[in-house]
Amino acid sequence: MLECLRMVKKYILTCISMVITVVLVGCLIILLDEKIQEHNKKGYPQSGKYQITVDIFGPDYSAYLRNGKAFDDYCDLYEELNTDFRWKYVSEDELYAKVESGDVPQECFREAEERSGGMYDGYVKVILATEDFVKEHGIVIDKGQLFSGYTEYEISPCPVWLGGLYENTCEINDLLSIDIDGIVYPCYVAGFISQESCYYSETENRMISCDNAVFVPHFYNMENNRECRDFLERYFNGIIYSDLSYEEVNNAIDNLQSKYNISSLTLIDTDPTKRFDEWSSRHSKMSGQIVRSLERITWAIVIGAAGVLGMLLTTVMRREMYNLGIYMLCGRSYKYIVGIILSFVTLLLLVSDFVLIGICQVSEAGVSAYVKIHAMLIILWTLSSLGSTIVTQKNDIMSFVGGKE
Amino acid sequence: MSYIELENVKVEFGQERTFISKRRKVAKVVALNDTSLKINEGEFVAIMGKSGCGKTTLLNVVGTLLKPQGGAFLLDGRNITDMNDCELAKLRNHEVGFIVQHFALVDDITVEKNVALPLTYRHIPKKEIDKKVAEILKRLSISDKSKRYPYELSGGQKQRVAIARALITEPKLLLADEPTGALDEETGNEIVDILKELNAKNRMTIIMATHDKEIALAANYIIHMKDGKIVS
Repeated sequence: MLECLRMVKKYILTCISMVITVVLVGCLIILLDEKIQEHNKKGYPQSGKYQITVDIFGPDYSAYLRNGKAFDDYCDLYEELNTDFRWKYVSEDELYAKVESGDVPQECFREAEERSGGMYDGYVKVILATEDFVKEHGIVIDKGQLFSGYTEYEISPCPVWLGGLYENTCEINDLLSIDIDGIVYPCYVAGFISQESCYYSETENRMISCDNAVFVPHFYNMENNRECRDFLERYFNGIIYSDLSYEEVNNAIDNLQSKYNISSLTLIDTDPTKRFDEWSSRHSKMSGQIVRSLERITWAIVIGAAGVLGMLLTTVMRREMYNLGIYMLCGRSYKYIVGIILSFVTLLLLVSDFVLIGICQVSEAGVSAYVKIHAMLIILWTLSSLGSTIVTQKNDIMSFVGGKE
Repeated sequence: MSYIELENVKVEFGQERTFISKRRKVAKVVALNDTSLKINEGEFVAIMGKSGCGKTTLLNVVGTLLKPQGGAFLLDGRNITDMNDCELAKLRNHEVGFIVQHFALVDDITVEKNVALPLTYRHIPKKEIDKKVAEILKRLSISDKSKRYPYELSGGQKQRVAIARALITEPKLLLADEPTGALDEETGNEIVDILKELNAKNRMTIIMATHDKEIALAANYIIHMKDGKIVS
C-alpha cells in the first residue's frame, strides 16, 4: 500500500490532527471512565466514616497494664493508624483534666455538685484535637493561630485553644498548667475558638459544645507508666475517613489486629444509611445521575469526534480524488482504490490506538477504559470506512481526471 | 473481427433516488445513446463533437473505466461487460494507455516515478523498470527532466511525460482525450506528430477526442458525435 503511505506523507499535518483528535477524545474517555468508576465506588454507604475503638477490659486490661511489650505494640499500632495513606484517622476523645493554675471562668469547671466530695473540683473539659479534627468538624479559630505540627509533648509549654467562654478571663499567651491523667503539662493560650461552636461526636453520638472546652494538641506520652498506658488507650477512639469500602477498611484493621495481636481493636460502620437516611438516598440518586450524564457525555464526544474525523477525511479525499483517478488510469481497480482509503483510516486509528494504550498504561486505567477506547475506535473505523466508501462511490473518480459530460 | 466493437452501448448518469420516502427525481444525462462503433487494430481515429456530446464517456467505456448499462462491448474479441473490476483493471494496465487534457500526473512524485507507475503495479523488478523508464524518456526527449516534479515542467513537457507513462506498458490501444487542449499550437502539433509516429511505426490503435479540426485531420478518419450518438 505505497499509495496509502504516500497519502500519509502528503497530508502529514492533517494526519497528525486526526490522531490528536482521536487521542484527545480517548483521553477524555479515560478521564470520564475514571470519574464514573469513582462515583460507582463512592456510592453510599460503601465508603465514608468508620468508628474505631479499643475496649480493653477485665484480665486483658490487667495484662496490658503489666506487660511492657503490649504497650510498645499499642504505640506502634497507634503510629500506623496515624500514618496509613489509605485513610485519615481522627482521634476523638473528650476527657476531664484538672487546671492546676490559670484563670478559668466558673462556668467552665465541671459542676462540683455532680459528685459529693468535690471529686471534680477544678476539672475542665479537654478535647484532644488534631488539624484534621478541626477541618473535619469545621471548627473555626476566632483569634490566634493553629498549633499545627505540635506533636512533641516534651516541648513546653504546650499550645492550647480555649472555647469562647474563656475569652472573659484569658488572653493569648496566658499560661495554664493542666494535669491530664496525672501528668502536668505547662500550656499557653495559642488561640480562641469562635463563640457557640460545637461539633457532632460520632463516638458519643451527640453534639458537643466547644465554648467551655480546652483544645489540647493530640499527642501521646510514650513513657511506660500506668497513666500513660491509660492515656494511650483513650487515643484509639476515633473516626477513620476513607474512600475505601467498609469491607476494605475492616480487612485492613483485621490485618493490624493480627500484626500486633490486639484483639480488642474493633471497627464499627457508622451506618450512615440509618443516621442520614434522606441524605444517603439523595446522594445515591445523584451519583447515578452523574454517572449517566458522564456516560452520555462520553458518547456525545465520540459522535462529535466521528464528525470531526469525517470532515478531515472528506477534505483529504476531495484533494486526493485526482490522484486516485490517476491510479485507476494506470491499472488499479476500484476495490483497490477503496482499499487505499480504508488502509489510510486504519493506519491512523492504529497509531491512535497505540498512543491511547500507552496512556492507559501510564495512567493505570481500568479494564473498562480499555474496552471503551476500543469500542470508540471500532465505531470511528466503521463510520469512517462507510463514509469514505460512500463518498468514493458518489463521486465519479474519473470525472476528476477526465472531466464530466 | 474488429479490434473494438461497440453495439448499442448505453450509458446514463444520474438516476431516480428515494429520499425519506419521497421520490426525488434527479435529471438523467444520457451520455451514450445506443452507440455502435467498430475500430480495427492499428487505426487512428479522431472523435469530434461539442462539449457534453459523449466523447469522454465513449473513451472511458473503451478504456474499461466505465461499464455500459446496456449493449455489448468487445475488445479484441473479449466481452468487457462480463469482466469484473479486477480483470478490467489488469486489462487496462496491460493493454490501454491514457492521455488526458490536463495530463493526469501525480504532482508529489518525480517524472520518472510518474512514468513508472503502471509498471509498479505489475511487480516487475526495479532495475527493469528503471531501464524501461530511461528508454521511454529518451525516446520522448525528456531524459533531463526525470528527477523533476510535474509542477516544475511546461505544458508540453507534462504531456510528453503523460505519453511516456501511457507508452511504458507498450499498450495496443492509446486513448487520448483532448491531448492538445491545454497546449499552444506549436506544442500541440508536436504531440500530434508523436501520436502519428506511434500509429505508423508501432501500429498502435489510437482514439483521440478533440475539438480541433486541424488536429483531427491527423487521424485516419473522423467520427462525429452529437447527444450521445455517432452521427457520421
